[in-house]
Amino acid sequence: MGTRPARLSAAVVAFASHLCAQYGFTAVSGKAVTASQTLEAAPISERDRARDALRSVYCTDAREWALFPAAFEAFFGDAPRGIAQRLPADPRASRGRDARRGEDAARDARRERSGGDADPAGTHALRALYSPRAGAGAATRVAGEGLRAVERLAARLIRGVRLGRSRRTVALPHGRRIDLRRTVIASARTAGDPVALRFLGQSPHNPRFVILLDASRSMTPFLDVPLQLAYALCRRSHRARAFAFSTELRELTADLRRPGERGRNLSALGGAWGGGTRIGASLLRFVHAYGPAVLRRGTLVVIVSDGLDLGDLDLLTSAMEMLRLRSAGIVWLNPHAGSRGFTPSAGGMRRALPYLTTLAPATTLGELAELVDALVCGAGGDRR
Amino acid sequence: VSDAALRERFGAHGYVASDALATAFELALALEKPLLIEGHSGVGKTASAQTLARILDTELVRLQCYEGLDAASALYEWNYPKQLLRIRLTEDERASADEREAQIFSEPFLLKRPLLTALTAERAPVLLIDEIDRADEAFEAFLLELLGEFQVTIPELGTIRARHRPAVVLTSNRTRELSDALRRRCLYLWIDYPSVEEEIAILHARVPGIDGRLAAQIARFMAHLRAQPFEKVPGVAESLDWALALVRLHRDALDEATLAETAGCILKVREDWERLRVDRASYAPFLRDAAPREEPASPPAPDYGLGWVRAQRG
Repeated sequence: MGTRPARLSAAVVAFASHLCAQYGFTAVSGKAVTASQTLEAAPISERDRARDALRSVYCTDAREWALFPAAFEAFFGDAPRGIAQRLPADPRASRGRDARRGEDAARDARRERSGGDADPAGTHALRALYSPRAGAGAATRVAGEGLRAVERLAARLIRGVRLGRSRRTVALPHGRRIDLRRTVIASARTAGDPVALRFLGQSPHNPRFVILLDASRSMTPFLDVPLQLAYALCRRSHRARAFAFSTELRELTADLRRPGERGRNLSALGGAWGGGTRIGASLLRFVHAYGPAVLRRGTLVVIVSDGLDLGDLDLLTSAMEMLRLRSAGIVWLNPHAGSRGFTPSAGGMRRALPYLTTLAPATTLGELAELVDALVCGAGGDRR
Repeated sequence: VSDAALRERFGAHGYVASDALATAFELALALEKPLLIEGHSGVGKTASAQTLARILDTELVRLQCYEGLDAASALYEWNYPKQLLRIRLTEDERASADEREAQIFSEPFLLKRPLLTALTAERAPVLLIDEIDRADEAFEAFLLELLGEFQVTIPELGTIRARHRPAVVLTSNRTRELSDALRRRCLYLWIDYPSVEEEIAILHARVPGIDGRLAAQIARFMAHLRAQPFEKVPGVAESLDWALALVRLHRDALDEATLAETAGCILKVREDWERLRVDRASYAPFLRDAAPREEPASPPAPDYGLGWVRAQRG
């Protein structure tokens, strides 16, 4: 039988594995020492204190904070008098059921990443991941090469788009505002005379991207390329966030960035995919729930929708007004915009039009390339 | 300090602390790790750090972050006008360039900003890095180094190590995602809106003399308000402002007129005012309690066969 500290450490490691594998906690590695110290500081016989203590150590954001009590209960639930009950008798026993389950999950994820599928990150897999209904139907299969082309376009968009300047100042060789600090330091070399002036200027905004996919039934046939774009943006930039909405709104970012864990949220995303259309309500929900975190003067909002809103159009107007005020610009990708004789006559489109900086189609690679060209050359996002 | 004792001390300073908050602060102090607090605006993130400083009877060093904040503004700056003046005044001295440089880049010419102030304090202060999400990623990266080693290198002076490790509290309103690297280095605490019972306790703690019925009305009304899709959802700070305003106006209960007069204490956006006006019917149940209290039923008066006699008691 192992010593108590060793058993405690083993339990902590097993719990970390459980958090990672079962609940998708992102930053559990390297925290075992802190967690063990924590449990020494907070008596493990006091279940609630131990839970609160471990919660502070292992959680890194609000999502994990909300999930933690359930994760704790699931792991230590059979220990009514405290987590000490859950300590394995032998340190080797820490490689118990939960640890093995974590390893199995990780192994499955690795296998999923590397094996079998010729197009591991392709649209077919993505569709299957995010749409139980679409996965059951005639899902489009796009070659891996198509995805690579979209990734190249996304990279070009991230590098090339300019959305005005931030308030942050950086050193510049020329300008109007003198950098007193650098000028004085430089003047020390010339007996205190500021011979060479140094200047400050505002740096350009690092662009942020928000892509909102209308995943209602009328749109699902057109979402292959936009979904690839969302995937590529999220993979290539930590400043990109992706969402899907139908009658509900769900964020896809974390799952798009973790292809190894695909399939976990199949049922959870059902309401945000393949249902009816509530564009206004969904966008309003996005503004309220995620706006403070993602909408800034350097954010480009990309909405992929046909504008067929079956909900209250006044909500759409309110949402568009808020989006416009809080972002650098709104790009609306309508799959029908490339059709001959297209006029934005759908109710939702008519309401949204006054707030858009760009209305374009992007259902094919060619259309997406044209859009990226236009945005990089300055057509997207006004320069505030 | 145990979490129970800490919770009591928070309470003594007018801050109603949850178990999770007390445990998180206890651990942050015991393990000497920074504590990252996230939560909606106005739920008491900054106030918790201020209260901790009062509990520990130490200085609160606050760094308010904003877009464009750089290391120089947060750490130290040289007093350039003073340096220029010194250079001019000593022009005639026969000192070498190195001697002059050493003179003007010495501690008397150093302007300490919050981070350096915290590192060089005689007694371990509470360092509050407020709204870190407003600062740029570059500044966040700079903080990583500082929070890891608690030392900083000033090229002209050398390395300055913290005399006493400050208790570091970072707050974020989640206007942008913080890096994983920063999150890994911190303990984490999420402060949610309080429950009705907690909010009543907060109101009693921070607004002495508030009527119990008014406090309960405010707490229930705010809980309902926070469930609505307002642009700026009111936090606890707004509840306290509102309660103070109502006490100042000598109101002991909420009614529609009072709500209309004082809505500016809780809603700060025109659209939210409009929504409140349009949806006022839904708030009626929370104002209904404001009806004058019924006098407690008096005991039945004795019947002497001559009609009812009601005795007036002192």
